[in-house]
Amino acid sequence: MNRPSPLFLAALCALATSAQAQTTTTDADTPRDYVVTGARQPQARADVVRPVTVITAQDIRLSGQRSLLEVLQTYGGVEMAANGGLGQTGSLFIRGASSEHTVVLIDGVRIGSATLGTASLDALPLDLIERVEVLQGPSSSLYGSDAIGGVVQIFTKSAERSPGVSLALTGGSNGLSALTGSFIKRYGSTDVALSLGTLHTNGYDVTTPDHYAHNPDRDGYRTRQGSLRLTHKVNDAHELSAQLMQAHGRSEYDDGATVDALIRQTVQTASTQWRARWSPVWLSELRLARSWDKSESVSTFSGVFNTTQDQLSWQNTLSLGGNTVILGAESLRQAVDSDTNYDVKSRRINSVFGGWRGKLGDHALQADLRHDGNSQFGDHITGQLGWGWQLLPDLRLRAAYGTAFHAPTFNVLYYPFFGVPTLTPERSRSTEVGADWQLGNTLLGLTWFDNRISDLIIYPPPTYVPTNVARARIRGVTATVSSTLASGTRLKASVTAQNPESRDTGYQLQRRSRVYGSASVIQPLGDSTRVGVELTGAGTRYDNATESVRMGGYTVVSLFAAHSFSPSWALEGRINNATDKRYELVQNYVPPRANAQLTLRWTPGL
Amino acid sequence: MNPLLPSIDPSRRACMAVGLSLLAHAVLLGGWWAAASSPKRLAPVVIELAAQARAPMQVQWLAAAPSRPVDRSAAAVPGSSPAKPVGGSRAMADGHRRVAAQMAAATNPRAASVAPPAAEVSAAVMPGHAAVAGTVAGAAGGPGDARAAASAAPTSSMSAAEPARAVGPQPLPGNALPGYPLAAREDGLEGRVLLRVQIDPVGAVCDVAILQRSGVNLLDQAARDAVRAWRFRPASDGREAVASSLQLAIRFSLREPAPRMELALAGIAR
Repeated sequence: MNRPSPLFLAALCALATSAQAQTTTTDADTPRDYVVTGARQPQARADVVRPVTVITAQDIRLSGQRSLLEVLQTYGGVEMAANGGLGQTGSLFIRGASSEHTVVLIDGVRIGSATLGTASLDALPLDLIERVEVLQGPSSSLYGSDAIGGVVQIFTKSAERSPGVSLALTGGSNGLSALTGSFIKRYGSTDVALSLGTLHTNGYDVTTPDHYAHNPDRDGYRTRQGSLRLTHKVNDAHELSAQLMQAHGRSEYDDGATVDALIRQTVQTASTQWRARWSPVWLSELRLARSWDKSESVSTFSGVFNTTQDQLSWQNTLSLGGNTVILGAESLRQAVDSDTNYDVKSRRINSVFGGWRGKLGDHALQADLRHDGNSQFGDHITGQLGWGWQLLPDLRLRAAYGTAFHAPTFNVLYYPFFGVPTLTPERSRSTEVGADWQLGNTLLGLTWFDNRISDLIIYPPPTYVPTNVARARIRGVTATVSSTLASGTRLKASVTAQNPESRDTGYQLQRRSRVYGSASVIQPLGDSTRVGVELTGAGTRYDNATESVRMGGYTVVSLFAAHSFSPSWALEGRINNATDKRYELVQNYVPPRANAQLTLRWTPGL
Repeated sequence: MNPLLPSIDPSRRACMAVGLSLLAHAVLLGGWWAAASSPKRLAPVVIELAAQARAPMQVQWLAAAPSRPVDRSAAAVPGSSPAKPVGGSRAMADGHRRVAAQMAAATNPRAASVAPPAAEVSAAVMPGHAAVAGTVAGAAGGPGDARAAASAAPTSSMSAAEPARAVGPQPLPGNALPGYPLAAREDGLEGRVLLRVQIDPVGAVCDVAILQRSGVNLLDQAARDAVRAWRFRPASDGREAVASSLQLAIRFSLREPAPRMELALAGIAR
């Protein structure tokens, strides 16, 4: 037996302790520090071809109890619309594409409703989330169907980034109360991450009196969520992980003055993953996962729509010299269980994909190709070409061209007496050109994009039968700034100016604006306090397809502050919509008015 | 079924109850442990890296990219066998004999000719040889190192002159500082964490306790995990190596665009 007996070493340690107790400490030298220095972020990565927007753990923590959609709007550089506040239905628009054109992944597991084609981002609580990465632009060649606008990758808490125990108690306006806790520890070669939480709010009246189904009651929301992730390093080459996540919510909405309408929504994932490094050259990741999106509406007419998505994916990464080759295969089965009798209740999409990343001097190249096959829409091939050029040490140019598609949803294909099973996928072609410029501790980014979407499914009068006839084109420019000043001030800002229009009518696309942006400034005051301000805004939007229902532009200001009054205890506060701005994201629905919340957080030492 | 209550089926409700109960227990236990002041005892640390002298090249790589995973190989103590596994796998059986040999080698003037690699983390100086101290300082570069080496030299020369004097533990060359965690850099988090390290008579670390938190758990964890892999020249009571403890601090700082490492001696407590 090569290892010393634990008992022996324990005895040694005990001796050490007792020795210390018996002798006096020398005070010869004051302890001097070992210093570890790091370059401040942001740091332009030398291999970036398509920029990814990262929402960090601190951004999420300082956002308090808010809807994930609002956080994506403030830090993710995207647009959103919602039928109210916390827990209410919402949509996300990335680069002017519609809500069905976003792929949402939680720890690599695809979530969403196969009937609606959207993921319930409004049902996901922030407390489980450690980090979000937004990839804007067409990404079907990487992620498959639906990634016409982009991909939102959500990561739950892990031992690598959020170690320790944490407990947080929140109270706020409209009867907001929340309790969340996480226990994240590394035990040798096993990581355990457990998060649990519950939230309740009485809400406010989310509709205006003009709304056809207005009910003057408060529309509350409550949710319970939990996630557990176990990761075990079998040895240097193999790692196994298993994960469960569940968010179960109940939100009230208005469906008539005499009805107490509510929706019960559950988003769940279960997955296991095996990461194996078979050789220094070959890394293989195998994932088996299932996600659920269950929605039950309780009102005058009730409805149950449950989607189950089973995913098996195998991705291999080969590092050959300076090149990386990716080869993989995926199988996705979507099944619908509903009280509506869909003509077809499940479908399977099989995919193979490959990619190459290489470097030629200062040039980085990227090429991806993916083939998705399904018995309903046949075969579909998407691809992407990207190029990055480190022109100067602090200036990088990049360009990309890609195609993407969105498979029609079960609602338009198989809804009884309405669906058209011969519909083809919506498709898009997109070009982007951009530059990143680093000035000291400031990173500036500029991206021009042109996304053409065709075969869009609409319901034209007089028959209102879904048809692939529409085309849209979104051209725009996004500018981003990410900076840490010498005083410690951290600034992040993003502005997009775009022209989201239908190519058939020339009208602005519904609920999308010609300009939108956000900014966040965080200023540390001393070692234990941070204060900050967030701005989000958008220009004029229209809530129909013919520019006749106008929703004016808005700017919303939020303030926040955080103070640690001991290493273990901190107080964080927020005032959302501090100027009590009244605006509209969806016609006749009311976004949150001015409200405040306070969080007490306990994080004991490791 | 009351439509106003969430319909969670009993098995799921049970799971949530169990989960919340587990969390409550974990929180209570964690609080109790934190309140108790005795240092936590860790499982025996087996430092699995080869004790072979690694080049200054390795350290410069470290200096250029601190956020990459750190190669924690430790340089050999001059005079000791390069094949000796760090941290005590066979050492325990003949611990005293081996340590005595190590101490003998350390006082051997000939051993001093094998200078520790440049710019290593600690200025482990061979006793009685200011020349070696100069080499370490010169190779490491920077005024801080000269100070460190200079202050080490008098101590070591004194210890050479009086072999019976007690000497505290010294960090060996090759101990690697933690990389700056990427998540902490992204969020602009800095801090200083004070650690107490328990060192056994062979020079391996058997416990690391956090005396003063940095306020950022990620930095505390990185510091503690890195120091667990450190090697020391064990303390001596004049005749043989003994177990000891040492306080040291690691400060994570985001000051310069380009990373640097500074050398410093840590305070000694026994």
